[in-house]
Amino acid sequence: MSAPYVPVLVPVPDQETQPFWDGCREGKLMLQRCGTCGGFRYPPRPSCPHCTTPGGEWVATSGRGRIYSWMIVHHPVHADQKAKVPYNVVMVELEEGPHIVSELIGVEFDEIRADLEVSVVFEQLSPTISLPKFRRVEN
Amino acid sequence: MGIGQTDFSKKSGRTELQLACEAIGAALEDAGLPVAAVDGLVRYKSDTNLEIAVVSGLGIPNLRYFGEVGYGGSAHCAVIGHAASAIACGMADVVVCFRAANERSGVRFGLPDPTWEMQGVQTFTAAFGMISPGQRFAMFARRHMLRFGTTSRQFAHVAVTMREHALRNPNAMMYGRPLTIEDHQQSRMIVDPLRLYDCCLETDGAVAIVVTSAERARDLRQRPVYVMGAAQATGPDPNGIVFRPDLSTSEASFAARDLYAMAGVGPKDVDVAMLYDHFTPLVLFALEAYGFCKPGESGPFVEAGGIKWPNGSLPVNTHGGNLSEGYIQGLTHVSEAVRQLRGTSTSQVRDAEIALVGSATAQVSSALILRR
Repeated sequence: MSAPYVPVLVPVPDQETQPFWDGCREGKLMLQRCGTCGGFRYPPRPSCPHCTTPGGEWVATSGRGRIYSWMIVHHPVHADQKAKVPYNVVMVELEEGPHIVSELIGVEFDEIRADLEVSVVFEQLSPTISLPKFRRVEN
Repeated sequence: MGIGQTDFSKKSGRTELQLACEAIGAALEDAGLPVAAVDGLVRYKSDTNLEIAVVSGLGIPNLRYFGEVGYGGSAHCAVIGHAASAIACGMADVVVCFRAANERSGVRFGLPDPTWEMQGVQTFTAAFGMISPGQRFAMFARRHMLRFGTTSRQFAHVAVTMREHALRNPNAMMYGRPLTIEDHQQSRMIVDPLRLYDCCLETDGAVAIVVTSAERARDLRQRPVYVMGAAQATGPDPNGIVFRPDLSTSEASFAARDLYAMAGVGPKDVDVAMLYDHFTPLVLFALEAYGFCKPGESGPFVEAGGIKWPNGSLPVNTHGGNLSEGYIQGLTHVSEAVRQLRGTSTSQVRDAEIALVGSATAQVSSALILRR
């Protein structure tokens, strides 16, 4: 049996994004929240996109959201993709507002639809990096 | 004032510098200007030819203005805008804008650089399987379908219309190769909802445009085409492309606002439009952003033949576009607009007086209004 494919495209944290990846490793979806207007933002960045105030604090969020858009990749453009196609990529609108790119796991492609309620889970890639993925919320 | 290009092929057999010099030489000949008259160059940042390589390659004695614009094809109108700004403020008199690439036989565009590092905003897309342009714009296409009921068949109408225009254009890579709606619908999925024929060509070739002042243009060979307006735009939160709050509209609406204000005309005054067609759905976004269709109405508009030459109310990409003529990141759209206004297009819009060139690139956009 052949060894599982090891992805090449593994996120490299930097000074700005380290808290996000630390949170993922610990099973928490951390977002920056503005100290002035309370608005959340993602991907991480120096200033608030809602009110332009610099800084803010990192906060653990609910990890819940709903499907905003999606695509199914059939044609790979990188070895990492070749190992996976076909696969889905979704945009999740988090309860807190920002949109996140991820994958919806545990569904057939034709089950994906707009506004499907989802919740974050974490998939370990390495000892330091886990990726936030999403699962349908069963009511 | 001058337009020039090489052939468009899958394998040029020349270096990118040779292609650039060939296209620029052709454009200068078209303008009736010698190489020594060139004192400004504006390039696409994605071009491998630095300005200094072109200066040495052609024998330009003295450059007074050089510049580059990033963001791939979003630059296609911005380079003309930069040239016009330089001339308007007196930094240069004759500026050449160019794009040259062996994009089909050489490095395939849209693929990640092997030395690419997983940093910055890429970290939040590439690790989740989103890398190429198509793998980002598919999200926009889907959202437009969800919000407005736009269909893949309507994307097919864009592709087929571009092909019909290309069938009249001997320079087109797809010349002699018809395409039907069914061909499109049965073509393989690249990234659902984008099929093979929703995606533009990959081309080896080059295009160059000579820009000068209106005063200088009066003495030259060709009938002048004037820049009435130029605009560039981002909307809020363009970084990473897909993270903005609304994926069913384009930042190009900002460019449209500034463009029409500068030119003093509106969408109804435009006789022919060259809309950036890297992917069919983004032509629909452009139709809406530039005010030719209300939001959500672009799908039915193209399905009813609205962008088709000669009977559509707004013929679009009469050369066949990126989808069927060749993909030189949009500079071919500027050339074709010039041809329309000179009366020399292979699908000539009768009495064309005002042309719009623009992208709804959905990363950043740029646009021009030209008149004869």
